[in-house]
Amino acid sequence: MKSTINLYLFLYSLLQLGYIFSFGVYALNGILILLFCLLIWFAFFFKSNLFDKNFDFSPQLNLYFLLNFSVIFSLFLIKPTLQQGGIPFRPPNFADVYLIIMALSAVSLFLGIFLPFFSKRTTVFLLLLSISTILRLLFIYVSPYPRMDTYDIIRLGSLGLIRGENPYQMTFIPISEPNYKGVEPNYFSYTPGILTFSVPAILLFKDQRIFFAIANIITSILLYLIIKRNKKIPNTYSLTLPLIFLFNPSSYFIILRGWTDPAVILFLTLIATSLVFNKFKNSVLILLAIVATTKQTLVFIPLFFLSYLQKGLRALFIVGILSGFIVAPFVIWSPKDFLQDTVLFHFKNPVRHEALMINNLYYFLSGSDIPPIILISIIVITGVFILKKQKRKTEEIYLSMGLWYFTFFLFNTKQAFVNYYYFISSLILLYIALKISNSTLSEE
Amino acid sequence: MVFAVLLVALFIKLPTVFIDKDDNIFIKFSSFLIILSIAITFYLPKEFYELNTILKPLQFYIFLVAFIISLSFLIDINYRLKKFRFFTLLSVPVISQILIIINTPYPKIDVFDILQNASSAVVQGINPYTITFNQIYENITPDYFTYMPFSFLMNIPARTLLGDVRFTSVVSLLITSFIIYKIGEKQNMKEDSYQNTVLLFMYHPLATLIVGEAWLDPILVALFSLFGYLFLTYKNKYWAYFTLALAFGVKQNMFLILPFLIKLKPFNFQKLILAYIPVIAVILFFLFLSPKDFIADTVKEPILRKTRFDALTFHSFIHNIYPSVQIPKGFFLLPIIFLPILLFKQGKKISSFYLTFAIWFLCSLILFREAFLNQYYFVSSLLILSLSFGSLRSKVRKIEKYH
Repeated sequence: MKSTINLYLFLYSLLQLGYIFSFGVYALNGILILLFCLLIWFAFFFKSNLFDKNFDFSPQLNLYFLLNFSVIFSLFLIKPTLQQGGIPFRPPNFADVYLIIMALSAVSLFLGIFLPFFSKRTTVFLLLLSISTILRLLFIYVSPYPRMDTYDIIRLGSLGLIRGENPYQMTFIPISEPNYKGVEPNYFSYTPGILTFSVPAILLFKDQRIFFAIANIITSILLYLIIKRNKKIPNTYSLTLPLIFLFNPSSYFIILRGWTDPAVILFLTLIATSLVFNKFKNSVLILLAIVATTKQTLVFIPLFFLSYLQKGLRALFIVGILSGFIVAPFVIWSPKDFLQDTVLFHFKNPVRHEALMINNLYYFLSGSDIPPIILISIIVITGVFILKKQKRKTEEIYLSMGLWYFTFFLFNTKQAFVNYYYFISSLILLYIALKISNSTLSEE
Repeated sequence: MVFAVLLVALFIKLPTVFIDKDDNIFIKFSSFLIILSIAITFYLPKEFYELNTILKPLQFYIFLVAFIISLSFLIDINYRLKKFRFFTLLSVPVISQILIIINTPYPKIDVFDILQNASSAVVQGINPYTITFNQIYENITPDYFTYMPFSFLMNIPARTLLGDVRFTSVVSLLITSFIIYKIGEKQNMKEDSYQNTVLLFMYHPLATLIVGEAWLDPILVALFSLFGYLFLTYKNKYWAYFTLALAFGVKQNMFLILPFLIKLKPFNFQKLILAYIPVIAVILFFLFLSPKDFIADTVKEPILRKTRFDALTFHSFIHNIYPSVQIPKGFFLLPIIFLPILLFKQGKKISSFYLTFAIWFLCSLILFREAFLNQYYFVSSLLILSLSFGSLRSKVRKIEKYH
């Protein structure tokens, strides 16, 4: 048990080195690290007995190290994050706010490093949680209108729906950034599940990113509660792991750009919380339906719950029906536009050669893409094996989900960027939290 | 800065989280750290390479091989394979350092230029302190050799035999590794423990760059490690003190080590003086050769040169936030205030000697007018030396006793 936690904490650290420095854009060093991460993960998953007893020391040291690793790299990546393209508008007091951001990050570094020294660790935890919240809000404040399609289409699509327009029929504002040259913004490329939370978020906060920032904070509190459930372990576990999640070095970038992954991770954590506390079990199916219809790539998520949920196939059927309720209105509204934006658009989209995926490693070596059939076969075959090997435990859902999605993203035929790997990292932490929560580990 | 404070805190109170009775946690945790260190070396700055030869990608691929081999730390392997892994992993940084020397025959940095030319000049009978070197930076007349005489004297063999002073750094790193290994054996540490310490030292992500830019710090670290080895091994402390005297003969600021020697038992003042005499004699020789040039280069230039705001210091930090704020010139004397406190806390053992000096030197660097990567590398190497000479174990014993 200790060994497993240590190994996955190590895997998490290595995974970070694979994508945080390049901000999820293709780099030879990054892709090789990610590839080895995947191989190690497969080895852990399928041959766990090879590693099980090798690292049976207290994971507290590893957690403490990883917390510091995260706060240090977060601090390092603040400037490059703000220098990334797509944030042309700045508030007039940007320089002052930047200083506040740096000062707060330095304070969090200080508190993170000294966490084991404080007698009132819970207070320090709450302080770090507050700093992390403020930092997220400040990142949103300094980038009032990021020029990025994801941000634009979610915001304008939701506003359109509020006005009674169909997001799938809308044409958005063209983006002048070099990446979008010649792209006509007439696509709402997400599936309708996203509107179930983006519309209330925009109604409440006017900027969906505030909801994503809050989602991060709620996720960390849920992680705390999940671990705290195990009364036999010291509070180092419940205090450090949520902070490691919050101080993921690319989390500010994810918030700033307005990717939806923090919301998806929140829903998956809510499901996990419901399962471990054995409460609100019916909401699991609703949440699963929302997650599965948020993005096309997430449609496979319910499959990982198949072996766990009682009467799995029936549950899957209910999730299907609920998903149908979310999707159907838009299909009926304008079938052609819906199909165009959610399916055909992605098929027509060219391979993104700046994406962090195996295809691009091959592309830069040989000058051509890997035939999609090979990539899809790898994804399907590994999926079958992973599902077959998956054990009937809550944490195993997230472990196999993380491993398969990692394979899916790395061997993707079109694109894989920073938010994809952020999603995987978060799943690893969620797995570790559940593993600690369900363990019989006693360590005082 | 935060790290400096952490070190002080660790020095005063080691959290019980880190208790490691028999090196097992260290062995396992350091295995993770080695893999992560190698992964970080993938991100070495590639702009440094001057020649676009096959050696440039080779540099990356040998680290990739090292990374793959290092993954074997995750599984149990037999003794012979462990030995093979250790020596293979040890050889990779050495190969990488040789490759960088070949691929950057003339790095555009004054340190390399002055050392390279001073080492060849002294063989030809020219006083390095009177030379004007090649122009590297705009608007700076390179008429200074700011280091002490042993910096070029120790580089003569490498310069004469191999044509490049940086080979001294490669050998120095190997000497330090050998000493960490040997001292581990002598202290009956577990073999995995001292092998991992060696690898942690060799896989410092900036080691290759430090060698490539010809910084003198690998030589200083080797002298410090030799000091520890000789101090523990021989009753006669003369040769141990002599290595520290040599360090002073390389860089002026190494005289700062002297107050830290007093608490290190057994302390022999007479031997200490005797050890410094030959080194000071050599320094005096160069002083008398051309007093004006020597004082201008080794004393005036380091003291009078302008504060570097591109350095990694508290000065730069303040300057970047409030450019108009002028920090008083005497500010860099602030570390003197901490000195008695740290000396009071310093233990009698060699590991404590390294640790205390590392902490104080780090605080001084942060508050000084300039400090660059090589000096921070020096501090991190001292921490590794402190670890290999048993600092954690002695702390653990202390905590166990306390409990």
